[in-house]
Amino acid sequence: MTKKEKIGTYQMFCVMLLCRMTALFTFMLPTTAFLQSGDRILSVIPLFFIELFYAFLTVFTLKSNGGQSVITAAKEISGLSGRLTAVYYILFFIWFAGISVSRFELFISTAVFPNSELYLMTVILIAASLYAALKGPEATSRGAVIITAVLLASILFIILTVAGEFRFYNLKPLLLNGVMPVAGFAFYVSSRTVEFAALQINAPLIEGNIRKMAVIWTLSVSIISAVIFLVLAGVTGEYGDDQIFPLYTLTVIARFGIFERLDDILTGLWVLCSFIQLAFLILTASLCASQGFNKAKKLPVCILSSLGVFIVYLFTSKTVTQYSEMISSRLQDLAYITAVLLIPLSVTEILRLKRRKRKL
Amino acid sequence: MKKLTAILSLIFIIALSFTSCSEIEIVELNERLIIEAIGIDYEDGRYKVTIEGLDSFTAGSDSNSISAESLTKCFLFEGKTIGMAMNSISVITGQTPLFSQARILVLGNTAAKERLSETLDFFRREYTTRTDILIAVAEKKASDIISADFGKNVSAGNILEAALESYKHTGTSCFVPLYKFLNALKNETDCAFCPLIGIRKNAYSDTYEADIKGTQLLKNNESAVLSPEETAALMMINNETENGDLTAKTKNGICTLEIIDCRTKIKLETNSKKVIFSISSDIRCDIPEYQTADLQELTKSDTEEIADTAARLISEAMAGLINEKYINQNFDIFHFGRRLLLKSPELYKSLTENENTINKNAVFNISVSVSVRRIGKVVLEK
Repeated sequence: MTKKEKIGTYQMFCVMLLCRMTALFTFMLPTTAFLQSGDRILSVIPLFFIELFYAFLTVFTLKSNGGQSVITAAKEISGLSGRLTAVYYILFFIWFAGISVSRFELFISTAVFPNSELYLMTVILIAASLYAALKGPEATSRGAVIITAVLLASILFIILTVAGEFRFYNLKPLLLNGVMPVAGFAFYVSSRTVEFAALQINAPLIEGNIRKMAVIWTLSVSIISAVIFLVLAGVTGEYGDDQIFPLYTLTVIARFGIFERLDDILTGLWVLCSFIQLAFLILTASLCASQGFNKAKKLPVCILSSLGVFIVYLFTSKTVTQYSEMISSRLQDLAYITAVLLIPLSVTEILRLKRRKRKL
Repeated sequence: MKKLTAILSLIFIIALSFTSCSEIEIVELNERLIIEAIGIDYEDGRYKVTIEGLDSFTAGSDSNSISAESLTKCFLFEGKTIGMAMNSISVITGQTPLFSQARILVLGNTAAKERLSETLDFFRREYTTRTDILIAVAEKKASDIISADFGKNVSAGNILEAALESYKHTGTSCFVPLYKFLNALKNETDCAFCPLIGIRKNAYSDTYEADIKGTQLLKNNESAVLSPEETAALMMINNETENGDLTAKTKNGICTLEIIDCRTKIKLETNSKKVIFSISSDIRCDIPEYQTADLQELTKSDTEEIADTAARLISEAMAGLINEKYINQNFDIFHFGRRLLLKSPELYKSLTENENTINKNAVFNISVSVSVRRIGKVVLEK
């Protein structure tokens, strides 16, 4: 019996959704807190179009490169460019995973074990994610499907239970400070994600229509984000504007009959989401290595990636709240644009020219 | 065999590593001070924090805890800031405080009126307190309420929470979680409000009972108090009334109306510099009591008269409250400013640019309709 290494589009959809939900709703980035709640809801529209642009760009480059990943395509240009691209993506994913672990620790040390430093728990999370990553993409994404179903059901339940506290007058008018803050917020949110870069790498493993999946995913993420922003603004008003963990704030308020502490359920779910996200990113980093370096072996690469994640976590965990202030925001934007836009487009174009030259 | 070895090894590792003897802060129950209620007073430039904690030594002891003198204990901590006062809890009690179980936060009258924002910042920022903790202002000192003897084996937190939850039945008090209070406090035009509570001696024993005096309004170092009757009108305008009672006097007798359902809608229209608020309430009531000299039955015209009288009383109460507290004193407890901002940001801006003058430019149309649903188990007379 051969080990199944391919995953379906619905599985990739779930993994990407979990990554986005974890990134967006466990931690509100500090500089976004001062956008009016009405504008925050509205920002979902430009966010949708930005994401849609990235989605089409990813699909276009994948199609142009014959369905192979951006690293494999870069390797076709030259061995060195393949290796350099692989190194860039490995570092990109490790950096993002390390930041996610720092956020996870911030969340746990705030909501579960206040004021504690949780090195042990973090090590256990990374070790468990490493184990899951070693099991392969199919095992990780299978887990993601189940967790996505539970997560969406929980979010729906929480929204229904707080719906009675929704007040229209808590909402703020749109575009009070013009269009730019809204567009800036949308770009800011989109450039602090990892899904389309990961899709570039994982595409060869996916069976099914990637374009359809990417469009549905973009639409779903936009709708879910809009609903959560709307409910948060309508229920908590100005109080919710500066909350670091917006969805958690809602769950603390949520009550249903005898169920008064729904936040515990969500806390457990976020742990699972972080686990899946981390496993997926370690796996993607190892995939980058195997695509860029012929002799790369999965086990040592996964271990090294996990170690890298832990090192990033060590350096960022103390200052994660001021993360965007500490690290130049433009540097993060540049890193994202390079991973999602510049490298895929450049590789595709150079490869196209090279193929044409070869034909001639 | 390989799998079995792996599983056994895993069980062995888990058994050794999950023994609660780790770096993670795991505290035994009797080392925890489970906080039920918090009271904050401000005196002589210092905060006095009164904590009612569950006495876990008594609660967890082998002896019958029911026979213990009290299941809770009160402690007083002082500090220049609330954080400093809170930090001394472990030192004084020898226990680790658990704030997440606290049911109510009572602000002393002075602290609420003079140091409101400063006092609440700790609870807004601190990780361990919950955002849905109830908030109330004490008639005098918070410590008097938190440390009052409410009876054997009951906690002040529990009693006060239950008293505040009575709003559901009486309609004459409000119920305000911390996040709602902070939401109002952070808003430019809103006025924050919460229940004003005191204590009174029980008529038949030496213990005390909670006494809701009305509603405390707090805004920019200004304050006012609403009576329970005014609070009932506030709750109706804000569409927060679930149940309640009111009395209507007719030519034949006195009638009690039990509010079953109250729905209020506020519509907003603007023209040039005027803001027109149309408030319409639709109230359904039952009549559980109709006091007449000769056990007279209700007729259809009686119920209509009762409904009309009740509607007039309610609309008068609403108009009186709006006139006195909003138009005259500019306490926006009805979120009119927020509604205007949402409807017409330009007009809002022009009316609040230098000073909030929305109240001076507001016109109100109030309409209340009361309908009688049931009249008890006695038939309606022809």
